[in-house]
Amino acid sequence: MKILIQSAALLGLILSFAPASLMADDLTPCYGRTAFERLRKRVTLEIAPGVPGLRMCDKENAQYKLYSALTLIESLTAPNEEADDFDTFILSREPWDYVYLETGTFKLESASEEVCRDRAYIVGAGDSAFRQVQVCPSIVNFSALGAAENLLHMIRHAQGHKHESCKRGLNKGAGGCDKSYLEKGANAVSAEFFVKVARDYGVSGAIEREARSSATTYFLSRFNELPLDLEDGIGLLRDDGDFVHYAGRTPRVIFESLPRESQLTAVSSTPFFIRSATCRVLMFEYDRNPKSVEDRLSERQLCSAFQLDENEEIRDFIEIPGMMCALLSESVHCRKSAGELKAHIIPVENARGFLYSRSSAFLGSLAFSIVDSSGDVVPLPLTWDEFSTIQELKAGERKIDLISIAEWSDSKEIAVRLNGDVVIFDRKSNSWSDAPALSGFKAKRLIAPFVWSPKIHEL
Amino acid sequence: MKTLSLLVLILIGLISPAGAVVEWDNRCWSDDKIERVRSKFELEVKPGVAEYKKCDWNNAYYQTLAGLVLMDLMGELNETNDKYDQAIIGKNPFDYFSSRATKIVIESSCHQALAYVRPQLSKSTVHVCPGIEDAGALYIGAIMVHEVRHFDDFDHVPCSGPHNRGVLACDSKYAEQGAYAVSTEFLVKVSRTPNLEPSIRKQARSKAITEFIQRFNSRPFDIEEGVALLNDRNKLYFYDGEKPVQVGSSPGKDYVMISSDDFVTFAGAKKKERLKFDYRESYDKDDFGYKPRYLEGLTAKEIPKFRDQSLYGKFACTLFSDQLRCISSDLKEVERVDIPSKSAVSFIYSELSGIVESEQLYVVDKSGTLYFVPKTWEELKETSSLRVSETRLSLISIGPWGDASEIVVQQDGRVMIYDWTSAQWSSAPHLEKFKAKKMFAPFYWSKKLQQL
Repeated sequence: MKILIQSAALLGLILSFAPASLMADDLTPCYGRTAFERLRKRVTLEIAPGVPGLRMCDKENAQYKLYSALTLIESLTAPNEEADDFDTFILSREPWDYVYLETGTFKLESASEEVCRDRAYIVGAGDSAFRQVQVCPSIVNFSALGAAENLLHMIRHAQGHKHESCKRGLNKGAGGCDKSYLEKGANAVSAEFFVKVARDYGVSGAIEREARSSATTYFLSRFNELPLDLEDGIGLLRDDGDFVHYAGRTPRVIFESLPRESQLTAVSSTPFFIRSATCRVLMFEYDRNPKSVEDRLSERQLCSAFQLDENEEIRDFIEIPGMMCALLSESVHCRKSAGELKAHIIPVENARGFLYSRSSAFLGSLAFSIVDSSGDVVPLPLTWDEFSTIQELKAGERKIDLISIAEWSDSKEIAVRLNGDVVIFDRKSNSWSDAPALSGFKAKRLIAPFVWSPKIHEL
Repeated sequence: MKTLSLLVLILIGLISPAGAVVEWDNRCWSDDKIERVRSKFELEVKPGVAEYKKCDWNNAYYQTLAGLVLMDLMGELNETNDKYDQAIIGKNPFDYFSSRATKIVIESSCHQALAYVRPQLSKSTVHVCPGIEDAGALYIGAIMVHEVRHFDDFDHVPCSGPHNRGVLACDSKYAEQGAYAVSTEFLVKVSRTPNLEPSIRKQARSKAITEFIQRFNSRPFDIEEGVALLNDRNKLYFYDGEKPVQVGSSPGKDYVMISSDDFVTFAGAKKKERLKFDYRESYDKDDFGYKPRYLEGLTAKEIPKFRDQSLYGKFACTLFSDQLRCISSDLKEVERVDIPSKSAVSFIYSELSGIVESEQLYVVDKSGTLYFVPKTWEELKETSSLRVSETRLSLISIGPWGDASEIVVQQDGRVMIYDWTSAQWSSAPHLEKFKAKKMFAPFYWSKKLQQL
């Protein structure tokens, strides 16, 4: 079964902040007659009775979505002539060759077709009679880029490549991972396709960005053996503005000199940097060959998500399942991740930041809290239904000298104290110790897990 | 020809088996004329080919010889050696053919071809395919001279235009003097030879024009792609985004420009005839195929209600204001479906559209309601009332415009362009005061082409 790579939380955040130009529709180009006629001669497409006729450039039209996905594959010019660490050439030089060699026909099924009734995924390939790829009308819910990737992914499954359960990272215990990239399974096909799209000269900027981001997500989270020298660890924002990767040894600087007022947060382990009083959230995108912070972080609007004025001083932002919240100096604003946009606002005093970890034994019932400069902790409800009914918050009795905490290993947690020290908590001995190789390091916040290697920036 | 266009295949599939070809094509040649031609070539008939049957126009064997007889009887043709006639084949096309081909093989089956040669195996053998019997005697002559041109090492290139795009069925340029240049030159010569029957000359000219438009990737004679617009004064214009150019007139007030055909065609219900625009101020009678036969059956009461005709899939339909009437490809069955509003205006059909569903025939009525016409004969037979589309558009004609746009004529006479990328409508430039009645698209035209 195909597992969608982005978590709902990440998608929710991106969709909340993304300007219209970055919405999924921008990932479905409008192709003209020439491209269409060229494709029609290269592919056999069967349409089940009852499926609405082709309507060009109509992104709600299943036939057009399928044609646009195939045209996207067909039009890739494949600048790379040889395999490299990112592109193992499973799809050969041009992905179209893979489609052409591995499939016979595509059939767009009607919604009532059995294969389209009981599957969570959108595009299926009959395992037994694989010369026909069956596509369901729900392909309209995908962008052309997503549908193209899905087609190639499903073709790979039909060749006998199956997933295994994830053994690391945020998806640990869930299905949908492959053993390694070099094993060349369905996830490798998806990652390679996104790499090829990201490197293609002919695609739009929006498609290139999305492909690069999706390729990275695959590399970070869909292989039990991390490729590209990637290493598990945490991300730390140093109080001088450097952002570093820490894996228990000397931290490696990813980039330097973020504005001092910045705060670090993460959604599904993707780091976000909040630029206080600018209404900007900078999303770390593992971009290539960065020259400056501004080059490698894409900006998303934060204030619009909470209907805030542009000069509001936003101190922190967090998204937890079902809800996202912004922390101002005198109030906390939360809203549902999807659906209703109106924020529920509760006054607070001297808030410094959110403290959140559902897996922390140390935090226990304080899994989601607001902490102030003196260590006073105000617990927050973990669900929107509960949060939206309360009008005021009360400080708990326990003081906690932490600004962030996360799991470090099966028996240990790692945290940042209010004074910036990075410390490790041993669950068995219930004791704290300094994190190794971080002497003199003062952190503002950590995010975890955070997988990184210098090589990933070469994509 | 080496390859056969989809268009030709479709036509072949629809032609009545009961001899719907034009009269002079139907001529039954005498034995001595047939024998004279037969004696000049070595003939091989492959197993499975129907036996020779004299004067049977469904017999590929007879048809092949009859085509050669016609070419032989034409004798010397007019040769002008100008931009239309490059004087490649000389004055006598039969001599041109018979000096190159010594053997004719009648094949029992071929893949998408009317005829072919294999110069790598033989530079004197022409293979003739089933299906040639539907080409007509004149066109068989063109096919024959075309094929032997391949012996001079002239190959085809993939078509880059909308006709047969990507198929190896075009030449780069007319001036390159390849196989399509040869067949086209033959047709030009026939059209210009005074002692030939006017009907054969007209058909040759019409076919030559089609070849000039479709067979050369670099279209000769400054031929441009655009649309044909009929205005409210029954004048016919060529329009390609610039100022429209008048190219002719409607044959008369009683004639309706019909939809979904391969040429600009008018149907006159009163006179029960179809007339094809001949790129001059006159018209050719279009009595090829079974559609005109159906026009013959109109009653006096039906004539004022006649609105449109369309060849669609495997059947043809006539539209009346209150009824859709379709006839099966074997001419044996007629189906009638009432139009609920009783105010049908025209058919709407587009091969590739961002406005309506592609490859779907619609009926549009005065209110802009679109009705789906069933796609198969079986479905049509089961239909008691036409399904209404959610799309409402007050259109009368629709056609392709550039790579990612469409051009339409609205029922109020305005000509509009719809851009697929932006999903925006805009007025067609230079047509602000133009009041259109109907449109035919795509339409290829140039002054030089009209001068042929």
